[in-house]
Amino acid sequence: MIPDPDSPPPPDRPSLALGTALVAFGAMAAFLAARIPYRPLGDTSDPGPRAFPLLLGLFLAAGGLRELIELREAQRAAAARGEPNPFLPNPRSLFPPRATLSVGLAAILYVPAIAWLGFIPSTILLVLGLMKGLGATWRWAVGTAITLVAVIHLLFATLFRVQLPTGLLGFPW
Amino acid sequence: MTELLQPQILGPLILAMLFGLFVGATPGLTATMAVALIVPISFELDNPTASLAMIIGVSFAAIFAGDIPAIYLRIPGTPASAATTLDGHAMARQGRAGHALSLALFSSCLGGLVGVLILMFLAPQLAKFALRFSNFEYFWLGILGLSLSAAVSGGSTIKGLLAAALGMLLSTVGIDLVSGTPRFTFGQSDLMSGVGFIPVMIGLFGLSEVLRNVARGESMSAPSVRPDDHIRPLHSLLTLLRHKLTLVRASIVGTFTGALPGAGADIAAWAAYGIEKKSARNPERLGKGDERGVVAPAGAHNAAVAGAWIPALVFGIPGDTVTAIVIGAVLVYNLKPGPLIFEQSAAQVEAIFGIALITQLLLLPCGYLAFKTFGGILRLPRNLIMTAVVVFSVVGAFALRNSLFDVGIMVAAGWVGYFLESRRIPVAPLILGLILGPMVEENLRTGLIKSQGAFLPFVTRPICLVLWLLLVLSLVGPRIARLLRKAPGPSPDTLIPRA
Repeated sequence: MIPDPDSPPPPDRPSLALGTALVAFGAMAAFLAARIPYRPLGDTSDPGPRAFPLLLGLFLAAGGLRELIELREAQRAAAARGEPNPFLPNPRSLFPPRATLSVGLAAILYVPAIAWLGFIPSTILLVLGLMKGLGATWRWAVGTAITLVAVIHLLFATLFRVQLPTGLLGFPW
Repeated sequence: MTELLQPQILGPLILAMLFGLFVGATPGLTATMAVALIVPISFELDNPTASLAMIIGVSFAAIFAGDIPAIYLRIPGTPASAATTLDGHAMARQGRAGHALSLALFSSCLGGLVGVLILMFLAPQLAKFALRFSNFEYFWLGILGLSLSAAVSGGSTIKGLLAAALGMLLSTVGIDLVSGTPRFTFGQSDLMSGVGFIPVMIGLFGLSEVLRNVARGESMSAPSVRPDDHIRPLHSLLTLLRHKLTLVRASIVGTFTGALPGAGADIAAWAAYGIEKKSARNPERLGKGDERGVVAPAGAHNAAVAGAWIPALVFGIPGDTVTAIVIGAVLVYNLKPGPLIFEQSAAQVEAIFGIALITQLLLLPCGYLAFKTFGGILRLPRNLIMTAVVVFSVVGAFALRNSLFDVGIMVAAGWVGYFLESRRIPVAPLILGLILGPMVEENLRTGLIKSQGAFLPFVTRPICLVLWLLLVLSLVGPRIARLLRKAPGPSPDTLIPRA
């Protein structure tokens, strides 16, 4: 459902996970960019290949730092009001819900599975797993697996002649 | 034009439109996702015009189709249809769902038609002016596009800018085209040519959308939409004639809003709705099932799709995420957006205009076909739809280069998109950053070489100065507007809610 237009937007709370991730990622990108050899084109007017990513890495790290400072200020303000810390890191909030995690992990596992088993068996397994994980009955899950694999095979392999992965085991699909 | 009416063009176009209608009408699946999923399929066609037709057709059809669940269930199929929910759903509750749907369809077609005509007239004129631009101006244009997208993509502008920076950083992966130096490749040959744009986009808008849908914890066994068949086209057409001024106003507002980089069809629809409410003699009727409340947003959102092509074709700056994907796709066909495109690739540009016009005309029969036939399909449970999106995302990412590495990139992008959006960082500026990053860097470096390392020409040239001031305005403007709005105590009518 869309939110009620008259209701105020949800608060844009600073996030420890976001701040930490941005600082870590930005600092790492800046560090790696600084190690790119300085090879300007022609004279030294060209800032070279490392300047742009270095600048972007520092910008991301600064953005993360700002998020962490905002978080600290919000914690101090809450403490000054005598309220319990509303920003205590909650380990459960760091991880997505179980169903989301299952779908995401299934997609991750699908990559090595497709390389090993090939397209048809790995896709059937993925669809069965996802459908069952999302609460479907076996009838729906099996029906969907067969239909989806057939449609994709027809569309990509037969019609567009895309070589779908056959897998390391060399099964004939 | 007759070349475009051949079966090898019309066939893929109609199929893509039906696909767009289906994806757009499914709550949780966006028009951007529809385009992202159709691009790998379109690449498999031998005829580039047919491929372009598929991409154009799917974008217009999906944006309109979002109105279907918006009217039936008050759940917008795409963010662009959020404004339609207000009066569209109220009409459905009054037993006028078919009339509302029909009005939305006619308005979308005509709005899209006005948008395409403005695009055809304005884009070549703007291109003549853009020929005066050099590296200095293009640098600011890229930065302006990114900042506008950060400012209007919802939430904090800083977070939008961070997303844009992340996208630009990703665009630096691979061989530096100026010096030939590898950057962030870690010895991986797959990374030498950079991070694939299409897998990232499929991950951000396909897989992450599924992850978000699952995370909401809604019932996955329930169907997405309850259909209704009472549709009388003639009655709706006569109603639309009564509200012709509303439609014209909304189409113009939609086209120009869509032409602003970063402001997509959702903002256009809300802007048109807001203007309609402000200019109406009886504004209290809007929101309670008024026909104008369907005509204005439906006309505006499809006009915005056409409007977004103006900066995309003339400057290579995408007007929204859909055109961002389109720019990435057309580069594959050696079609380089920019002011010279109208001279160097005149035939392809004419084909784009022609296809966009044909799409508006085909939207009517395809839309009615969708009302009649999609009833059964839309009763499908959500878990089936979500599973199909995951599988199509994986196969789509793989099919481009037959590369499992691209599938890995897609899955990683899906998780990154999920993490960012759950922390209120919009992903649209990220994709724009990925597209515009090379343009910004190349023009900055070439500009500096031309000026022998001096930054002064970047701010003193007249067009640069205007672009620079626009940039400041785009970043500071919303803050000033908020302060002004707070000062006298605003009326709720003056607020335009975000999708």
